[in-house]
Amino acid sequence: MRRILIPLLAACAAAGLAGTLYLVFYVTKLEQNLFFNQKIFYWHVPNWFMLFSMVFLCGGASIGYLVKRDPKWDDVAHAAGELAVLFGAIGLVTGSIWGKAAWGHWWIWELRLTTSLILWLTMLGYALVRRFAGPGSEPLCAGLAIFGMVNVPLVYFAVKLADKLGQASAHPKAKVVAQLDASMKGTFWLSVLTFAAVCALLFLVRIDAIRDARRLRAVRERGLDAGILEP
Amino acid sequence: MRTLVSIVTLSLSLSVVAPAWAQPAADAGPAAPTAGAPDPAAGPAAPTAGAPDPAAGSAAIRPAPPAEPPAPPPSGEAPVCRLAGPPPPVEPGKPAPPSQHSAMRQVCEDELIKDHDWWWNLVARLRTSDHNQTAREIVTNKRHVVAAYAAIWLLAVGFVLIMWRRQQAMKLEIARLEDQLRKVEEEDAKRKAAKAKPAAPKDDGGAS
Repeated sequence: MRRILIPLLAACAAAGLAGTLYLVFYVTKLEQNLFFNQKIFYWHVPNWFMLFSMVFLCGGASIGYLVKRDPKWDDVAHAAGELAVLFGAIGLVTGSIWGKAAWGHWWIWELRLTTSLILWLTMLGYALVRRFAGPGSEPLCAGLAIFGMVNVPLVYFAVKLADKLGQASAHPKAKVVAQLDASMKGTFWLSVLTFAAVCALLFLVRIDAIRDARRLRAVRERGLDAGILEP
Repeated sequence: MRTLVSIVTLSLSLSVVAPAWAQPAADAGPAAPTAGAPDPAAGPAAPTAGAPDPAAGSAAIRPAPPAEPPAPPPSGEAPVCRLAGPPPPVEPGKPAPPSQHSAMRQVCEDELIKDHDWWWNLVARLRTSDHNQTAREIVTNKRHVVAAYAAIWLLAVGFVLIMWRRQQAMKLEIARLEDQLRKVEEEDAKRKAAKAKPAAPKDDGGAS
């Protein structure tokens, strides 16, 4: 199953990335408020969608691990957490470039940007603890992942929250995707599907790598027992 | 082989479907600002692409030509000034529009004739080429868009490369350790067999 799924996802991702690039730059209309800068939107927003889904997956799997103490749940959380860091980094960098183009500033301390940064730093902390804290850190990592998951609705509703708090938000209040032109919507949802394929592909590959790491630990323990490795 | 077929099928279907999916970009209509997109109105330095600069007042200022042509600007570049044309003809049966002449107009014209810097300053503010260039830069801002897409590719490829290298190193170490373990186990088995062989005749002898 996996032997078919990984090449299939890779093919979908490659075709989707090429296809969306063509659609974004040659087919979709020019948006009349942000003009060419709006083209960043087609890959920027799907990245955030993937970040949110990975943070949710990481948090959900961490809850599963804390309840059942099954390492399989921990593997899922580990892979999703690392991908959340990747997609968050992409989202922040592309958002910053877009901010410079549209606002004239790389960064402003607006509520959505600030909560997004906190979410990404949480997931970065999760990945660092996983990498350097060693065996036994799984429950701590699970707690961090749940904290990150709780942060997602805060990021999503930050614009509304800023409005209620009387703060100015640089992001639009309206449901923007629903108001998009038909050609823009098609390209946007194709981008979302493409990034979902990329995300699923990376997730499966990371799961394999994490299982390899587990296998390596087991082999090392056998090596210690056999005396070919020194503690 | 199956993978290859699926890749080809997907690529072909996408290449057929994709252009037909979206409408041509030429008839660009107004569209809403985008999700997660910075709202230009709210930002501190929001561009007003294509919008004429109100300060320029493209048709409102029509200074009388100076008695002597003013000296060209220091750069030597001749400014392009698109002033408003003659007023539209009055339609028959309708009253003529009121005169736009203000009381201060003559004073301004006199001052403009005297003050060449002011004249060139006003002319420079009316240069449509400047506004067109700014509008063009905003409408086709390729620099930031290319940077954003390049950043996505770089980060994604960097992540994949780091993970791939880490996984390769891990696989090599697993293979090396398993090989060593197998050798140790084989040596153990041989040693045990060697220990067991000399003991066998003794036992047999004792039994016989």
